[in-house]
Amino acid sequence: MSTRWLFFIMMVLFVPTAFSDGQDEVSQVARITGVSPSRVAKIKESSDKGVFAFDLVRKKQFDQAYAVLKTITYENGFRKVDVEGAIYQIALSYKIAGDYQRSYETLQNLSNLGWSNSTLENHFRELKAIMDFQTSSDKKPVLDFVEWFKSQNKPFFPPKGFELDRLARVIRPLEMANEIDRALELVEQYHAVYFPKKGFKKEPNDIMKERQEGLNLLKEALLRDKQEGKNIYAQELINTTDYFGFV
Amino acid sequence: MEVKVKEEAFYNQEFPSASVPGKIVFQSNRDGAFGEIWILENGNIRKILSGRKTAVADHYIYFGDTRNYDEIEDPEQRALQREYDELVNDFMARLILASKNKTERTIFFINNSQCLVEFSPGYYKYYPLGKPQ
Repeated sequence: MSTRWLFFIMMVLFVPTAFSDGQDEVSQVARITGVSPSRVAKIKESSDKGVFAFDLVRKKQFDQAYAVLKTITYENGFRKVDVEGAIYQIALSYKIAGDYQRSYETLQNLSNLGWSNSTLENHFRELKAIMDFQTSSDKKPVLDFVEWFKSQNKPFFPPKGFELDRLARVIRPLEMANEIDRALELVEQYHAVYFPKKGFKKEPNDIMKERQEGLNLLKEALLRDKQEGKNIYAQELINTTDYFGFV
Repeated sequence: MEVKVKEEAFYNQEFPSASVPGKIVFQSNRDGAFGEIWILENGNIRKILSGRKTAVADHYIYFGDTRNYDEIEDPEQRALQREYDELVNDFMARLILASKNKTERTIFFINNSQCLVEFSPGYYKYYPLGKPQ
């Protein structure tokens, strides 16, 4: 059988199924919301691209991720939320890639587009602290950022049992600055909440179990840093897994 | 400031212009039939099936064909209202599309970070025209 025929049969077998799944979802959402099916399809396309790029970033395939996100443009029929959301995702991806200057500049573009300070300020401060530390080796900017961030997110420091993204935001720069003990101290505060001495009254749900797992891995990473005299393992964990959000 | 002006120009003040304490609730009211209600709570998006809960929901955002734009005489306000409604409807479509898995929800929050304010852990206020500076 020729390759062309084989390709044709594969198309007949698989494409309609895949299309009808996506099409069903689009139709359903259009029906529920009153948004036109073409618009819902575009929103879905934007979301799918975001998810695809997200996975690429986790695999450190950064250039491919940027390329995907950069196709979300007005010229390609996307709207403001999609376009600016993609720019924001690119900025966060630059940060995860360690390209802090480009991350900063990309966020500045969003600021110029009218994004609120409340969204961007914490990133600007974090990036500036890291860049200052990298140029001077002075830990003060990092420690100042960590204290400021904690003051802005009081319910999370000490935590009462929340998601781990805020924790990751301070652990990463602390590890960069070789402040492993400070980082461990914060992780221990979370650990006390997620692993209470008396245990939980009922079996933890899946979300709780996932956070427990993430927290254990984070603690292990920092302890490994300490043992080996390094400062890399926690950042690697935060940047390449989904326990801590896309931070 | 521009956003504030737009918010003030908002036509129907009974329609929640921004925030819903504790949760964001959306109700589908297409064709006058009682429809799905979706809720964004604690960072998770879920569909409410219970009728009792719908009765005590803080607010509903109706979308679909429920607004008569011809009633709005001022063309500028009519345009703003259309823009506002489109944003809300778009947001709702995104919300439902993002409800399948964690990664999609993460992307949802990234894309909408300019209009969602987490006012206590896991609880969000929604500002369709962009959150205040």
